[in-house]
Amino acid sequence: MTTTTEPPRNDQDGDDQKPGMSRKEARAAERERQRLLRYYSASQWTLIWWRFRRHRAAMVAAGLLMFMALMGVFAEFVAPYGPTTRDTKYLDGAPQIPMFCDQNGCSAQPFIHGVKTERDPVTLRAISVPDPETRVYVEFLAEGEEVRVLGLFPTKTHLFGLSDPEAKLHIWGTDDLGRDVFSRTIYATRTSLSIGVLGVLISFVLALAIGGVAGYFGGRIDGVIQRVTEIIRVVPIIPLYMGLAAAMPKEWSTTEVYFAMTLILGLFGWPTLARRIRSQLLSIRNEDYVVAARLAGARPRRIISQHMLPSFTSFIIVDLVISFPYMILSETALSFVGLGLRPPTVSWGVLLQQAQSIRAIEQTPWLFIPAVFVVVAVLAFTVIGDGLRDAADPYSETK
Amino acid sequence: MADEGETGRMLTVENLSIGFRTDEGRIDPVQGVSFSVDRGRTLGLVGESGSGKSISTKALMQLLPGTAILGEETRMRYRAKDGREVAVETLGRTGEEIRRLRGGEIGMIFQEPMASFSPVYTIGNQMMEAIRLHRGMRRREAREFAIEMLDKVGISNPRGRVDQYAHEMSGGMRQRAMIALTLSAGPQLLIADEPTTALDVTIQAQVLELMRGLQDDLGMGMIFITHDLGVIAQIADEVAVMYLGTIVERGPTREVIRNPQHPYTIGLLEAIPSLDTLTARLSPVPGDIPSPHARPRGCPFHPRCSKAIAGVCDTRAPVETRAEEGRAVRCWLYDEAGRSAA
Amino acid sequence: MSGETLIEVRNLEVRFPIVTKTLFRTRTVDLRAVDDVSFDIKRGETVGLVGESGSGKTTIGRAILRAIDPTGGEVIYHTATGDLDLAHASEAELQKIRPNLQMAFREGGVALHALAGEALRLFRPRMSLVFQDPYSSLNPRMTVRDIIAEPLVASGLMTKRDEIDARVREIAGRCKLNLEHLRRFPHAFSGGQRQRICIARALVSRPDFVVCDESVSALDVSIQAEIVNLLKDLQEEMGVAFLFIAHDLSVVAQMSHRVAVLYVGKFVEYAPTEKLFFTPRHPYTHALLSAIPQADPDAAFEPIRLTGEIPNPLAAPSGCRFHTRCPFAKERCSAEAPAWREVAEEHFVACHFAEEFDFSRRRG
Repeated sequence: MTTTTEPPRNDQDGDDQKPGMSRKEARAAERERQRLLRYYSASQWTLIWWRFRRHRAAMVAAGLLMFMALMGVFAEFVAPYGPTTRDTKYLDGAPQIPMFCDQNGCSAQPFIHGVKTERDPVTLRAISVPDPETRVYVEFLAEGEEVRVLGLFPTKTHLFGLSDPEAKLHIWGTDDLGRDVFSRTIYATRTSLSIGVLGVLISFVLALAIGGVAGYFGGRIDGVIQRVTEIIRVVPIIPLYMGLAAAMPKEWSTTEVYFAMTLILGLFGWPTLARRIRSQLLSIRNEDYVVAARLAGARPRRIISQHMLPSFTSFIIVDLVISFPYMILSETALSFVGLGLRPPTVSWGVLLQQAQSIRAIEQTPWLFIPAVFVVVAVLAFTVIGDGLRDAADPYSETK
Repeated sequence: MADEGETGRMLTVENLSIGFRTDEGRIDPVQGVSFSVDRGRTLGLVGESGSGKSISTKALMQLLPGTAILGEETRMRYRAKDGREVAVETLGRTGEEIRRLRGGEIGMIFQEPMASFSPVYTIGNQMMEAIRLHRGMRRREAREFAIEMLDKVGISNPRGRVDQYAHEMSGGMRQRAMIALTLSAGPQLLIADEPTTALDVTIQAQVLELMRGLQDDLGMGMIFITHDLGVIAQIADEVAVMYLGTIVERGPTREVIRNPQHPYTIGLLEAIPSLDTLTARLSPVPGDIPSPHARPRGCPFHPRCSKAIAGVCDTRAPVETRAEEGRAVRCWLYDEAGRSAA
Repeated sequence: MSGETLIEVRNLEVRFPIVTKTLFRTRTVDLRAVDDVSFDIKRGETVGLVGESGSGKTTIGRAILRAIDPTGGEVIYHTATGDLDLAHASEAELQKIRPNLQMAFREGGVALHALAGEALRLFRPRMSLVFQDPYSSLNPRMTVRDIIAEPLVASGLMTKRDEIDARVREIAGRCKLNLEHLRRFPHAFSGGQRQRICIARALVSRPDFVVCDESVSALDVSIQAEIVNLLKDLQEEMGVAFLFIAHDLSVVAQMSHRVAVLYVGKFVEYAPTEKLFFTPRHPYTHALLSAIPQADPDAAFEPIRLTGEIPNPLAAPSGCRFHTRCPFAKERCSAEAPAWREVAEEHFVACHFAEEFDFSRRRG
């Protein structure tokens, strides 16, 4: 189906004024003229943005993802506690939902009940139960632990907290060591998203170099590169990851493990993208406008950078966005089976690994909240990728 | 002649209008087009890009995409082989009736035959399928009939060719095979959409000759769509000149080309480079063809017309004149009787 | 027209190796796209090149421009000063290309076929190409101004921004483009306007020689005439020579001073336009002319019936390549290739029986 989405081509846009036109019509015509003028002198990126904006689901997904990323970046400020801060008074504690009313009346400021320790009448273990008689009020921009936002700016202020610095607020509950699930999830978001970004960047650089060489020069070089790519593609990826991850020395610090993980993910993520870049280059190598550039006396570097690459950067970006979820899922999967990042680093995978027990499912289901983040992030990336793909070719007449 | 015209009329299209909903609003690539085709006669639809000549015939076959809207006053009457009159505009895009119409009653040939052949079936297989479906023959009979058809369209060694794939043939051969495929379903009306445009001139001449001969043999009606007035002059009995979705002039081909009336037809004929006189400069029609999004008000041709009357041509669309011998023109320069008003 | 030769093509040959691989062996067959073609183009002249598909007309144009490399023969480009004028090249660049230059330099001309690397790149602005498809030949990511300026910028012919702007505006004006549209992107333009942009790009470096490869074939008739006129005007103003490649003989007739007819990679006839169109000597030229339907219902349309299809250049017929379809073919034609000879002044034909035919046509 060819529904054109382009406004009309019209070269008489200067002299459209008809003598019989009313003033109102003339104004409308002038507005239309301005709109066309904007369209005609809009660059590739502007056109893509205009089309992307119309993709409502992708816009929502992009908003969600931005929100997640911001939470991750400002984790120290958003999270009320550190990822390893323990609240020994509230182990395996259920989420505490701030409320406005209880049996003792209502309050304009949200509050939670204090915690007291009791013995379980059956198992005789110490358990934490809410004490409906005490109220602790929730405050925004509350004082708390001293942290450095972005590792630079020291502050004691957190996004929210409790009026009583001794009491602690766990809106998504705590784990078996009394660590705040909400805070840990926020810190994990940072780790997991940044692993995705770094992994994608590494594989992108590799893909651009390898695919670019193969696609521009073609021939024998291309043949060799293609065989290597195929070999890497046929290696079963999960056992390989497991082998490499298991080979990481136990004495490595968490930072070293973190970078080793991104490197592993990046090193094996490039073949698909490299193939894509290669085939794009090969297919436009004989496009008329590329031949025209060559006949105009342009050097190969200029031909590639000015004429060939810009014509499919939009597609590369789409591919990059779509490959994010694979990175994130790979990290999550590896950490989940215990071969990726290790505690005390927190990532979505690490958090989920700790939740893998019958006990967790039965007694502390809030430990699975990080899974929601994984699902939302992966879906969001996929939807944005779809939206970008539709918007990426502003010159296609078909949709 | 008159009564033959009555009994021989196989297709009447009145007030055909086609609109499309697009993201940028509605466009109307065809507006109020009327024409008719008689048995054994050829109607040429000639026009440049955006004239709506192709979409008009797609509407006849109910082949328009889902976003298309047919005008309320559109009437398309087709007289089937069994004498029934079919109101094509009331048939849906799918269903028994329209399927019988496509192929069996009305055949279609396209510019690029490669796109019409399946790459995974032989020419013969595809022809046999059409023959069995529309003529109810058995396998063996159908194969013999397919070979006969290939022979008829001038394909040498039809017995060998029947088992070839379309990509194994040259362009001209493929177009011949396409014609054989279309005709093997036994249509009585043939729509040929730029069938010779992609061919070399010597091959084009062969295909044109073939089509004329087949039409004489089979007594089919034909709608021949092209942008080339030279081809029209050789093959069409009547011609309708289209510009931006309307027929601006029509009549017997000879008359229209000898004595064009609409300024667009005149301009188009003058713009064609001649082979018999070498001139210093050609005479183009000034300006550009507007896009369907920016269809000018009034007469669609007025921005390019040297004879446009300010205040008339740019405000009101002219109505078609009714004049003698099927000649009509849609221009303010002529009064209702078709006389020059100037 | 000064009558001075600009481009000399001698025995040009272009072969493409066609490799067919089976499981056990690889077979290579040469496709002779262009076989032993010689002609010349004068300054400010238009030479038309006509032929059907597979005749090699596009290949000839591209081989002269070195968009593809010829496998044999010579192409000499005669410069106005008789010298290799590379004023825009820097000293360092000249040093680098010296060895290649010495090889390519002939008396009064440059051997285009021998130019390579930097030397070829520096020579590129002297000639250019206008493509058939005005949509695919413009980079959609560049503004019209940048597209037209590209030959100046890419070759280093000009480096100052205002100089480039002035030249772009001048040439765009000559091509009757609206100067206010220079900041727009190609998607804003119709086919005819796009082709003007292509022409402006081809002429911005003031080349002596431009190849127009089916440059008006994709346009509507009413627009096509305008572009043909524009090309003629530009030729008069700027003295540029055109190699005008087309399958449409009527356009070539209006455009060209001399016309060559190609058949399966070889020239069959080459003559001034008047002679070629009104007193053709080769049966193929005659058949081609008769096959064009005229927009005149009274003109006799009796195409010479050429039997069969255009031969595949991979299996070109022996002797005269046209003999398989020629209505006048005799035994000699399949055995012996006809010589390329001058049958009248400036009228070249490759046919054994050229003198015996009279295919004269009446003028309109």
